Amino acid sequence: MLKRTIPPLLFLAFAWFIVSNENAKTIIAGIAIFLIGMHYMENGFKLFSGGALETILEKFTSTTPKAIGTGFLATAVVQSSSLVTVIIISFLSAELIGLTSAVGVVFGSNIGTTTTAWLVSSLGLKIKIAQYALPMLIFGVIMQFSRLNTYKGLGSVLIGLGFIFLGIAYMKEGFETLKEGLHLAEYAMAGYAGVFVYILFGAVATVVIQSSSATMAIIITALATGQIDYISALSLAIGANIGTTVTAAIGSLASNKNGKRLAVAHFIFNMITGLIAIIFIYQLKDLVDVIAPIISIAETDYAMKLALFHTIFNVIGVLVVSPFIKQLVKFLETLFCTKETGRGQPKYLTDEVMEIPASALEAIRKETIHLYDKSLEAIVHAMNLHRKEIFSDEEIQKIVDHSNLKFDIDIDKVYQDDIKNLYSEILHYSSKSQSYMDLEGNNKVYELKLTARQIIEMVKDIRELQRNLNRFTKSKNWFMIHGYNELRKELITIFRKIEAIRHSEHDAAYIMTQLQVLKEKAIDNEVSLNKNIDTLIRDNKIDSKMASSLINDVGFTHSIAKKLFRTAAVLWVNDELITELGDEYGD
Amino acid sequence: MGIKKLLKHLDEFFDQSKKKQKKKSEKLSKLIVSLEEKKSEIKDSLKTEAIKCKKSKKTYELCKEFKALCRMLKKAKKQEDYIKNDGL
Repeated sequence: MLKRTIPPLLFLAFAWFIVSNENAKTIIAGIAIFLIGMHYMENGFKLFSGGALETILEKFTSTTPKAIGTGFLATAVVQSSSLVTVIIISFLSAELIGLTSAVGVVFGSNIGTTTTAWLVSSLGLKIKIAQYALPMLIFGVIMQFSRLNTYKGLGSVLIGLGFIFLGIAYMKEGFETLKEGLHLAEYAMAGYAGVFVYILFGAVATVVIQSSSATMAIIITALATGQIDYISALSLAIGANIGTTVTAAIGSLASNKNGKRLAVAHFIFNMITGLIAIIFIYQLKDLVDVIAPIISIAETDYAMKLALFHTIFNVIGVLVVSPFIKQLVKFLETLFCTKETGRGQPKYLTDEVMEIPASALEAIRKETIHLYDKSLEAIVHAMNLHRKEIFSDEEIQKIVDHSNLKFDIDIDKVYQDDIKNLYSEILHYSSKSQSYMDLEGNNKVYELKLTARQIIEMVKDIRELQRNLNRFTKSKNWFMIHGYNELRKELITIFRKIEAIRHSEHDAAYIMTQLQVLKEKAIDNEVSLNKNIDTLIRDNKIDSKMASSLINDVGFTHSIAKKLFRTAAVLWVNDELITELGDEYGD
Repeated sequence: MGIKKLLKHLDEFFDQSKKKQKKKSEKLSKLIVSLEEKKSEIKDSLKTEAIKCKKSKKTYELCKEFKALCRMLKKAKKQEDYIKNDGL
């Protein structure tokens, strides 16, 4: 009962407060408009970058300094650490980058987010930005009507910037009018007591608003209009940095283990940084006073000085924590460990990845490889063989000769319990993720879906072949035993070659050539096997029923081979152009 | 500059398809050169092996590789021509 009544009552009290207080209304409206601007900027960059942001974040994170630099630049450009974090979590889930790189990006992103303070304190306060905000909104809305995503994205970025500028202007106006009646700076407390109170204020404000950038904008405008003093503003900035970890932690609750691990890394980093800033707040203030004149910041320009303070303590945080990144990652890896996924369950298809096309594509590719491995296991067992033998250096003839015992495998059950379920998951996930992709991405997903279908059809083919294989390898007719062993040899050869291609470090053109050679040989073998069957019929070595079974099974064997070549080309020839140069089997 | 011209320039700037086709064409040219080199290498080896024994396993393997390379080359050249004739 209490739970039901308190929120509406609080909401009503808040509404009354806004309606009755003109200045508060202007400031809060400014915050709301600023937040809308951030939202538009984030979505606009998603569309405008057309995958460029993802490419940069994927390619330039190989070392910790690179990851930090990339995190900084990406966040500074898109003005959203949450967008960068979402992309990083998706990359981590798709295993496109490692946890060390992801933590590096999060550290860099913390420095990048301080650029908002620079933007507000320089552009936001020194120029009458509301004048620029309105044309930005007009052009932004016009561009929204475009068919091209690039224009639409650019339009959203313009609308976002327009709203951010407008929001700052409203906040500034609100604080300036407020100053005439109420002077908050008079209530400032001296010493560490004041520091702690303002840190708490900053943290709570960030948790309530859910954006440290918005809190920083409020602090800077309040400072510029003289509503708060400089040292209180510094304390509030530290508080905002601490409060943002709560926002990230709440956001990660619905996330997977990678999201949670990154939220913990973010929390540890911001706590250490905050602690350093609290202990050395007065020394850092002095350091700002030393650096400010060097970079042409006026002595009384406290807003710019606050931005400098914000950047300095985050940079110090990165310098202090980065040397321990390996230990931090080791610790993070012990957290949120989940049990291995059950049979027939996907390993890579997570919701966090779905909305980021590059990660979603990689996740689908990896899951298709997972499906291939599961299917290969079933196919090999259906042929009464072990994978270990197949991929060993042992002579193929020997493997076939000593593996005549029937395996206790119900291929139908394996298909229904494991393979079909995994295939369905791939199809379901692919179709959902396609809605976030452009035409090129959609085509790639379509290729992977087709490959997944070919893989399960291989299992269906082996189901047909298995019956006769078990029947005739126990027969008294040596020619039939030999015939079926030839089919097994054929498939083992192809499996071995494809496994070598899969782990090969050669270029795509070489791999494609090898696949083409394999195809040519398979075609020759099919012709040769059929000729042999004709000879056996003519010489009365096998009867017509045996012959028809063997001919059908040659067909099934080569149907599997055909699908294997196509699967290998899609999954392991990492060059679309070269994949296009391959022939279809039998062309 | 008229608004139509400006919009055309902007469209060209943002239109990635022509840039992509040009990039593809350059990549194809490089690929064709490397495939030609590989083809002539295989051809030489094939000649040498065929002199030794026409029906040996190695001759057969080389022959298959040669055929595969020829097919890939033919396709690559066809694609290159298609891109060139498509308005580049």
